[in-house]
Amino acid sequence: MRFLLLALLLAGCGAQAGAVPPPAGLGPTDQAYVDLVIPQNESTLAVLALAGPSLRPLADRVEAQYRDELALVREVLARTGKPENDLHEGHDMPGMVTAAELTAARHAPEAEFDRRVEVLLRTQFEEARTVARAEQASGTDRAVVELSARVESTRTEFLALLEEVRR
Amino acid sequence: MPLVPTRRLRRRVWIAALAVAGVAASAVTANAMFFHPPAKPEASQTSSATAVTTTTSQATATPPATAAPTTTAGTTKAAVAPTKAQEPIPPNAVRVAEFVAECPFTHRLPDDPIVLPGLAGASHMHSFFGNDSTNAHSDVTSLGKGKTTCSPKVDLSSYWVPTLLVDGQPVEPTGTTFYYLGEGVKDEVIARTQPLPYGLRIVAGNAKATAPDNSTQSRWSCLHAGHVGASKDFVNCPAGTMIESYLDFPQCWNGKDLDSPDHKSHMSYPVAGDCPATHPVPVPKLRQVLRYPASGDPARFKLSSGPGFTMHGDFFNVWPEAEMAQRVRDCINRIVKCGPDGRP
Repeated sequence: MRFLLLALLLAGCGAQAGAVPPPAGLGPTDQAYVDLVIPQNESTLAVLALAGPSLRPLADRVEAQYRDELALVREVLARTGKPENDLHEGHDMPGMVTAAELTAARHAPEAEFDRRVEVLLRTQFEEARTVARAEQASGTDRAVVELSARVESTRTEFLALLEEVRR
Repeated sequence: MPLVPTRRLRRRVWIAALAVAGVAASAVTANAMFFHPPAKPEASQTSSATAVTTTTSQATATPPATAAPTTTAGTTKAAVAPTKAQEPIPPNAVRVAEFVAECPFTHRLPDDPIVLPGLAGASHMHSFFGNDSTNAHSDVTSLGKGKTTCSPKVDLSSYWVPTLLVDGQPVEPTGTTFYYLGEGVKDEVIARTQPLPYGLRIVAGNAKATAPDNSTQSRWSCLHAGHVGASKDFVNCPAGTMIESYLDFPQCWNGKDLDSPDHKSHMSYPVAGDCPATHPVPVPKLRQVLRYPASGDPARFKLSSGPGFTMHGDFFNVWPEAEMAQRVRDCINRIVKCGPDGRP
């Protein structure tokens, strides 16, 4: 009996050791992608709030989509028992709108304002699409890969809509 | 004696300054110049529940003092013995625990195989050194098959930092030295320092810093202009000198994990000259020294990650185990300064 207990203990230790244990279902790429989507989407919501009348219809659609994605990502984290981390909070990464960029847009002269918001959004959509493609190529969790496919198609659509607004 | 400096005096001051600058180029003096108190150990508050459980079970299973190489068997292969026989310490040896790799720039990519594995294009721009195959998909297996710019050629490790932009254009360092040092802990701790485990990943510095603060590990200074002093942000280096970045990596390992969810909590800086009980295994301290062909007004400088104090370094250890073990045994444990060949 004592021997069995020891064997179980040893087996337990062996199973626990190892490099970053991938969370149930989420591979390292899925995890990194989920960690990125949260700050990408949240920082974009702040830009959408600035949008003036010409961009408003597009901004409302983007906002609904981004909030849906955030809810989905948080569901995935809850399902896999992973805490929401702040790994990239305040990180100057492509696809995230930094506090400095937001302030600059806010204080832009009126004539330039819409254009500034457009540029921030375009850059964000393009980067989100790049990262979504990488997740589709390397991700393993079905829900996260499906999310990235949706991100890719919606960002392509948003980029087209943004072009229309400019015309 | 009039206080107005004569021409001769000024020249003497210059000669003295140049001499000091020359000495400062060595890592030894650099330690004195750039020494900063170790940060508080970054404990497991951000690590996952699994990591915490492992730590606890480990701590109760084995006393920390003996949790050295045998406990690493779960993550790495059993400790590999050096293949080369140990040479006696030559009489003219410099008694500093150090070996070195010089690893010139290889390429730039918006990738980060540690923080963003598999996500090509998801990062700010990084400049890579050493292993020339590094990209978003790299792991220890792929890197082990890569080629390197490092001297010695046996070091297949990958090193990367955010790209320096001068007037918006990338500028790559021409001095790219990676020191492995014993310093930072007491001599008896240096004597029992263990090889860095194969496949270990370490991130040092704070890419997300919003201001220079106590968490800022990196330092900027000027090569051949020591009087400018070291700073957490970019410095204004006189024309003809080079701006340089120093970054010390944490040298205490938790003895189990080759990486952690936040990529930091499996490593710790030493506390009071020793490794804390949470991270009981002393390993060589990696000191990254990068020298850029750039000087002058730092308003023209930016890192791809933001201001100067966001400087950070990523290290993926792919030293063959026997080579690393031999260097730690001969150079670190014995406190002998070695070159790229791992000999005094």
